[in-house]
Amino acid sequence: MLHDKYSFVYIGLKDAKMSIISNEILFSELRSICGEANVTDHESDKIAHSLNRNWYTRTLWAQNKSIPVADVIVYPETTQQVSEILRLANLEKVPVTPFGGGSSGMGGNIAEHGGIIVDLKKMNKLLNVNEHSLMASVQAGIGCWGYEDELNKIGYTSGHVPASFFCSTIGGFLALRSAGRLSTGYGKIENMALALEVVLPNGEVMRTRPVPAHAAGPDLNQLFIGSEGAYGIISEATLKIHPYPEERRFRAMLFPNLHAGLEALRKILRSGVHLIIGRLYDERETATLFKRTWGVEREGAYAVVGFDGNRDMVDVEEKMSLKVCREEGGEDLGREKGDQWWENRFGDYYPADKRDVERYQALLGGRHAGGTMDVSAPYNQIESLYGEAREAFLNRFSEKYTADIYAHFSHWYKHGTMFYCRWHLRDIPEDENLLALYNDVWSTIIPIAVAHEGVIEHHHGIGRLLGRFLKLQDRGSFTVLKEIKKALDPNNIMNPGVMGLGDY
Amino acid sequence: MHIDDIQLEIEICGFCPLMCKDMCCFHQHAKSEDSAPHMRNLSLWKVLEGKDPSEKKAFLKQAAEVIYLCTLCGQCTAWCGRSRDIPTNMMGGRADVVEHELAPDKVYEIDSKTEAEHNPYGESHDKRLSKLDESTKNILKQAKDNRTGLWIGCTTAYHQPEIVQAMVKIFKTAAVDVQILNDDEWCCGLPLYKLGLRKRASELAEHNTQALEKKEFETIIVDCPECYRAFKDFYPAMGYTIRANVVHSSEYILDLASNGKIEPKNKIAKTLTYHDPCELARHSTPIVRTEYTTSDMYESPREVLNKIPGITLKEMRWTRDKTYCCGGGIGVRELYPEFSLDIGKKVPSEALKVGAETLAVACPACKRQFSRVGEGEGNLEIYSIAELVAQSL
Repeated sequence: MLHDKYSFVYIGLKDAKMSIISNEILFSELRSICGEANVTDHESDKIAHSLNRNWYTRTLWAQNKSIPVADVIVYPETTQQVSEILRLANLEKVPVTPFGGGSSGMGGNIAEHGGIIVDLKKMNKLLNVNEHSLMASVQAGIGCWGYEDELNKIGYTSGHVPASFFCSTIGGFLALRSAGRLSTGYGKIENMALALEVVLPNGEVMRTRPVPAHAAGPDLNQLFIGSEGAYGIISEATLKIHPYPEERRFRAMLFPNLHAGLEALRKILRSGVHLIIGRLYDERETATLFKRTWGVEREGAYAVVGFDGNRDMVDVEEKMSLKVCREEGGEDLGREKGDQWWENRFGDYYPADKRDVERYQALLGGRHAGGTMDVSAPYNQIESLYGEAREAFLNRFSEKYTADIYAHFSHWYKHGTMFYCRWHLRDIPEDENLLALYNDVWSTIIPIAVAHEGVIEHHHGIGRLLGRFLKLQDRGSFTVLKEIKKALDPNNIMNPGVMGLGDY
Repeated sequence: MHIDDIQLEIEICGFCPLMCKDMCCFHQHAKSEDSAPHMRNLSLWKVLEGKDPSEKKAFLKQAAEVIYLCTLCGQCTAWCGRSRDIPTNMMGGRADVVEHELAPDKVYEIDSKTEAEHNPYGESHDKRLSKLDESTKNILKQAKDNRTGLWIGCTTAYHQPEIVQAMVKIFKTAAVDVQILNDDEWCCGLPLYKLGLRKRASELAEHNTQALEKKEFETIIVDCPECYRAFKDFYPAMGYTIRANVVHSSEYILDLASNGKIEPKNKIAKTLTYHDPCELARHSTPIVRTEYTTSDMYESPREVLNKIPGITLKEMRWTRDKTYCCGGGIGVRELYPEFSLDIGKKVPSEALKVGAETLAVACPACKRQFSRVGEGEGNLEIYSIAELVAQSL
């Protein structure tokens, strides 16, 4: 099924190595490792693991087509069990797909070649909070909400607040290099991780030390963060924590246009102000947002900036930021609209009404295609990158379909930023090959990021959606990634095909 | 099909990006992906999309595998940014599953037991009152005034008779005669309705409505929140109306205390916390969709407890509309006993965390469940509100 030439799924294997172990023996071995209750081949759970948030399998399922599913799902509770599972899988050459909260839309957790899904949700313990050194150790399957909640109770925060707050795991974040809403201040997950415990494909367990910095060889944490299960399974992590801020404050602004907003936020970051959030909407999204939220029509580029920490410091940073915004022509909409945005930070994700359902039905029925592109680039490139991607998309698809594309810029750094762009194609003819159309969209817009010194993904990972573009991004580095994969996983059991890896 | 009427709700939940997933008590314990709320809704969406009856039935068979992985506690609804009513979606799906004879065997066993003995436990109907002490039986027998009825409920009758005894003591102190239905009291039917056994639930509702009508009560005091909600919300939905005023025991006891008819005097020098039962809390407030909405029932239990001298009332983390399910409802206990036990451990452990010595409940099923799982959870006493008030008289 996945070998359809129009599939957007990257097929990394020329010939998937076949295991000769029978399912009966495999299940029996897995049960002896994890216990009877933690091994299942129940059809509904297999389907649910494949569907999760993945558009591809959901569409196939909606069209009554077969979807790839695992042969068996195991729920280990300890690192030792994960190690024994991988040792077995490596011996018997059975594909293994790690699984966290199931919130990814990139298809990285589809059991493309069957085999074992290792679902880590039962490894959900907060192991230790080192308040003195501001760090916490967790098992990788701990849920994001549960982790943050435990920290909040004792006066700390992880600083990680992604949209998938209620359905994702720390292990999943690490596997995909996740970013939360407050990443401008607290960093992405790769900036938060101090140490990892990783079970390697042969079952060996590797640990790094929770030090703030080191010069003891390459940073192995960063080798495994973002490896999407191709190099092993992250089983534990030690992450930075922060005292819960005394003050958290948001301010809304309206700039005359996107360019002015981009300049303002760049200058704020450059000035040394510690923004926790900068969120800037393009003109198209601003108009929709104003109408939906406040029922008024406004032109320009809406932005929210946020600050937290010591109250006096927040006062100063807010004042400095406002000055920069005004110099760039920004209109101060006040704290209230900023606070409203924060309070409603999850609100828009709940499907609201019949209109939303019709949209989803159209998506599943193939009459509507939609997706996101979230890429980052240096400041000198980001605006032209978005402009060109937008133009290329509209030029290519506006004639045949009702095309729409808009973006917000939501994770900021001193040296560059990213945009999260949503695209939609409506009124798709019934006989359209939808998978080919999706491929066409990605092929139209993603290479533009590469041409502008950008990367093809900022915080969702590569999965199976973008594997073919990872090669384009930098051929030299892709070769290194492949060679590491070969060295660590010679039998290619670990999530074969993810990120376009595994073709050896 | 029943789910045709709630198609939009099912679709919306099925398409949601998993926003309530980690809040679902069943999913928190089972961890399986198929137990997550969106997956259960997606399975029903698939049925709705079936092209013909045979395809719909095939999809319904798959849905039957997952839609019972739910306590119907409504935490998802309380958490949802749009207050989507997933419990009602599950109940609709279960009704279709039962009508197509695709439900798990345990569901039909509960149906058979209820048909034979008028209670879902399959206990002998003839022995419904046999666990009450003689003094309570005598007081009930001697009641002459028929204005006030006392609905006992299956769980209380067979497993928590001490709650009835406490209530009768309170009413005697207040000089209020209460009468019961004796043999004419059958299961309220709500546990069966929830499992999809709507035909049996309707039969029970019809019987109970007629039996209550015959007694001509002006007021019916109900302690079990499930029965309370059956009378207030589900009987009208099934086409039956109870004309008497249905009140929860905590409301009635509060009224007696406020009007000076009882005066809790004996000091109970304990730190206590109160657990809101799902049916009385979020299911009885406008948080859940209006179709099955009654009134706010957060305050009266707390007000009653605050009238007992000596008590220090502390709130747990998960209370009111965010209360945590006890996991002890009919169906979950029978179908998934291990998950039922696991879910039930949460509230006693939360009670101990706030330093409570006593966990007060307003639901016999919660009391039964916490008494079962609370063993070994420190020295936590579990009492119903009526028992605590009776101790104080």
